[in-house]
Amino acid sequence: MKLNIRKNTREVASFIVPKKVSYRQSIEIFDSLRVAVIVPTYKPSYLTKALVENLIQWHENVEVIVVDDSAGKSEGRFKDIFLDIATLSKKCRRVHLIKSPRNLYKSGALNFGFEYVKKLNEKRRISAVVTTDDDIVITQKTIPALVNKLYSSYYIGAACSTVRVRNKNRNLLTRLQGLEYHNFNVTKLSDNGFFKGPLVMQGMISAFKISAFIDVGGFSVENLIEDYEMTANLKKHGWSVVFVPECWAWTDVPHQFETLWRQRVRWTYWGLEVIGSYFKSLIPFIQDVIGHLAFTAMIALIALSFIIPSAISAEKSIVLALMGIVFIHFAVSYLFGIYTLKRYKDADWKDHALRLTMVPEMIYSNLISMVLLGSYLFYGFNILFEKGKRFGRFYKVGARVFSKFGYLLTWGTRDLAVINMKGGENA
Amino acid sequence: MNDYGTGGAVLGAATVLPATGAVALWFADKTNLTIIYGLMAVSLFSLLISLAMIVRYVQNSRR
Repeated sequence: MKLNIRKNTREVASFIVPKKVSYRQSIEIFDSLRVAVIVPTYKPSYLTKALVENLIQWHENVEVIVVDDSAGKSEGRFKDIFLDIATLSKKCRRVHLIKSPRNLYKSGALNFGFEYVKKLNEKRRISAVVTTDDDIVITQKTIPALVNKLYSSYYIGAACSTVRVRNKNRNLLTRLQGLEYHNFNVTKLSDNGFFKGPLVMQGMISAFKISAFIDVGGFSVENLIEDYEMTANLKKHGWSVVFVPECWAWTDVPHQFETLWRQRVRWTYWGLEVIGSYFKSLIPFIQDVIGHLAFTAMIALIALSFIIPSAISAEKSIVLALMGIVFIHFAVSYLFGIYTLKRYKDADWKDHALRLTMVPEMIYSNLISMVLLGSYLFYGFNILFEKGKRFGRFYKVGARVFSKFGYLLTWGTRDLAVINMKGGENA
Repeated sequence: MNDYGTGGAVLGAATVLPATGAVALWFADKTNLTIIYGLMAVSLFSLLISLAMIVRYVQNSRR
């Protein structure tokens, strides 16, 4: 393998000097392209209908593909919304309502929608594919800004938006998640031009070049955080990804701790699965590896400090030096957190108070870190027992214990049915 | 309190937990010196990661 020193030096240098991800900053190409928006939905809401209506009203070059993933089991208000969308598709030939043969879960439904886009591509030349959740709110500028950025460089395969929390003011938990999502946006902006870009093009709304989508072969149905897996796969195939700060989308976050816990179990456990799947190539998730290494090393050392006591006390000056580093890190993070609030569009005085007082965010962060600790154990458990293929009886007992704490190989926030990993269907 | 992670996977790990850990050690008498050096190395590494992220954030914000 030929080692390109200049290229690798630039990659490493991007750790502190990010590469320019866009070569044509002011490109306005959206209107000249045809774009397909895939909206997979299981239980549609009035937001789904509003999203479809807005998209066809705002953009004449957009085809909207709504994937009904309810397997014909929708009832009541869900059925009414599907009927409304069907009526809309009869009025406007740019709205396409297609039904998946069975409940395919999100990644399967997205792939099903993409197969339809490929057929559509034969008649109407599609350049970009946008995938969205069915409960998001966007502005008229959201999709044009995403697509323009996507085409600002040959190397960019995907672009994602700033995530804003619609129900932030509902309770303390949603408010803390609002601050957390703001942190995600800050991290994503930092990661533009760092190696191949931010860690995750979030599933809520992201745009892909159709060539990139075909290149990686679509979403993996074997992973329940399809967005992270897709981003890693794109990077592995040589594509860069980019975060578009001026492009906004709103979503609802869990307002109950139990739902949040299950969501985070899914994120953390399946995040480890992604790393396991692409272990040989480090670049797709270098940020995550750094984080996991720091975290596990810290936990291991703290645990060891209680297991291996010393006969003599460490010099006070050494302990003070350690405390000094920790304090500087803490102070830097705290001040940076306050500084970035100026970019938090939805912040009110309560958000400022939460960040300034520190304690609520600190408790929240530690609780979420507990989810990760459990995911390490659950991941190790599943490797040891090969997800039940080995020592089946013991696996069942262990799986039952893990399930008591919310650790399941399932969607988590949708239902508790066990997934048939090959088909993505409810078993 | 920003950190790396899969949309929150390692949230707080490199910032909050070191602080918690250091406080725990402060009260834990007679900690092994090697462990203290290890903690110092990891904390320093975390600090550098955070500083690099802040530098990149400032640069990308101005672009």
